[in-house]
Amino acid sequence: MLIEDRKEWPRNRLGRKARTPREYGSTMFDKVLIANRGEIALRIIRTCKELGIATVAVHTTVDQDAMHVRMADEAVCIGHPLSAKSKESYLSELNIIAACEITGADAIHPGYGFLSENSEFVEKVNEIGIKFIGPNSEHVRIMGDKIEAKTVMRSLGVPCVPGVEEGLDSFDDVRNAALTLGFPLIIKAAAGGGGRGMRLTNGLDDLEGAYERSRYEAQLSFGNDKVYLERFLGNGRHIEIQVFGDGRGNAIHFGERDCTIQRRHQKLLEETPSPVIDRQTRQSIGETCSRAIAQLGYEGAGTIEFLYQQGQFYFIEMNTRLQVEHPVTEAVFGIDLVEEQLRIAAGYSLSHRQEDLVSSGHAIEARINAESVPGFIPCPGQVDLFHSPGGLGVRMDSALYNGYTIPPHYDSLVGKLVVHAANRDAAIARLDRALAELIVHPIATTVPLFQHLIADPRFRSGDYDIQWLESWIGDFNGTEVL
Amino acid sequence: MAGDGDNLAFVARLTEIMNRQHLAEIEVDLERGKHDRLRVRLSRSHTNAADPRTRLGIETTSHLRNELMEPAETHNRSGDESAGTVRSEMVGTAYLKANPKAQTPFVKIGQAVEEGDPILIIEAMKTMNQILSPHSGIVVKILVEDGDPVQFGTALMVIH
Repeated sequence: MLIEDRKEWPRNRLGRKARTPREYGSTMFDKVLIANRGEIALRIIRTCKELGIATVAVHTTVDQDAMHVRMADEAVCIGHPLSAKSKESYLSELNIIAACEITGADAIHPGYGFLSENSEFVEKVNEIGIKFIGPNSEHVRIMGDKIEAKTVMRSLGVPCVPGVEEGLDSFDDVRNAALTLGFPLIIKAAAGGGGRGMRLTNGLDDLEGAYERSRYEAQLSFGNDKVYLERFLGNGRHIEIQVFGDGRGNAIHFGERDCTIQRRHQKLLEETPSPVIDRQTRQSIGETCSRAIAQLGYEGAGTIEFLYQQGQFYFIEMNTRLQVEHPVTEAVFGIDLVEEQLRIAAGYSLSHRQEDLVSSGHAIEARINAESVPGFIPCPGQVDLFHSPGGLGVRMDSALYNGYTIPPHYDSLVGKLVVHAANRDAAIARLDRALAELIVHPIATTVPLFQHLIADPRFRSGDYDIQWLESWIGDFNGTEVL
Repeated sequence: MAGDGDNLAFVARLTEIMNRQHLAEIEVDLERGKHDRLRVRLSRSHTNAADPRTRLGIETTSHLRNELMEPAETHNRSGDESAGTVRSEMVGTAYLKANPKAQTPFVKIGQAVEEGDPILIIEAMKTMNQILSPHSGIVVKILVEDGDPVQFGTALMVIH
């Protein structure tokens, strides 16, 4: 009702109002509002269309010509993008909930980022009688609190980094706890994130200084000087387990994703299966995770992230939402994880039993960011020519189109190139081929980075840790290679 | 915490916005942390407030207040911007009367309104938000009907 028809864009060709027969009964949602933008909003709209669910996009004034707005059945403008210090419009809880009210949407899919892990928003949405597609607010809250998440996971049998979280009221407490725990260890801010308030200490000599500095930084950054201790385990690999719960005590897992290729804690390339995890290890950690999720009574999609070091898993955090890199899991299992989310949110059971889930082949995702490498400087601007790679085993999730202007206000992720092939070598060859087909002219992207990375023997060997990419980029910095 | 220099730059930016949009008054209350709060109120004694892009006065929650601080350039959504158009900053349902039983609407065409007079209500999340006239003038057009859904940027009225 709120869409202004834009003459220059043949909207109906994008399938507006085209309804396919419902696979589900009348208990499935009629209309879902997607509280997000970019490729993930498109991703969700696509599944909704296939299931015959009407879609509502929300957008800011700079995004009024964005693809998610064009593809959705309805669109509501919720504000304009804001300067760095202010709250972004995609975080405007009031306008998003009001958009549900005026369009009659009965559920909100939050995508990732923005409001997807905001427990207060989840509570508000559910209270007003709109279904938040995700876990309940209590589970979102618990997993958003580092100490509580760890305590809960440990009690559910999930392996955690050895540490001391409670009873650290004075330096004497910290000293005693550190002696029990052993060195090296990290002092972390309880309310923390992004490395602030974090101090590595190698022994008793520098413990007090590190403790004081950590508390000071934590107070300054988060207004809370509570800290906790964790053993420092060195650099392992980032392995995460995709889980799904039905909220009624049943859960399944979809194996692992290996996200070890990172730069400054930002994932750049993800794959499944991991080159370092064998079948038995996968089954064991997967079962540990699905058991924990079942016991928790968790509902919807979740990802349990681990540091994997010398054959051991150590819980890092749990993301209570769909992940950016979920398509690699979809590729090897042939299952639509967004459909699974919608099913569960609408009260249906899980679509598969664990024993029926079969993974096949190898999938890799490369994050196409509008950034110039090696500096990773964001490069917003107008796209004159966009050509998406195709062919067997290639999936490109992107909201780009010819003439689209990438706004400077948001994340630089402009596409996800996902390839699927029989094995890792074949997947790498396919990724190489697909990267060469991708054109985002004249915008600088991370494509050259991936082209060099996947040609590197070390990457091909599969033997690296979470620090490796940064040192690899460092080696190339300033040379003509990138 | 923001230093004095930052604060001064912030005030300078507010002044710029005020001048560019011919605002009579601007008030900002920013809480960036427990111990970092900045309150600024700028006003001028005489001004021509009847600028088309003068922002709406909305008495509502703080995050909408934040949105009011943005420059108006990106805000003009259509090309047919006529002088004195009052646009919605909120998403919700517009009501022209104070309550369903009221006989008369807040304003009628031809009526003179003062800056700050209530002109309509936008309901969002079961909360009635009074929308105040951003400037004084005569109501020339009422562009929404009672019960119409409105989005950010919807033209509500024209007040000359």
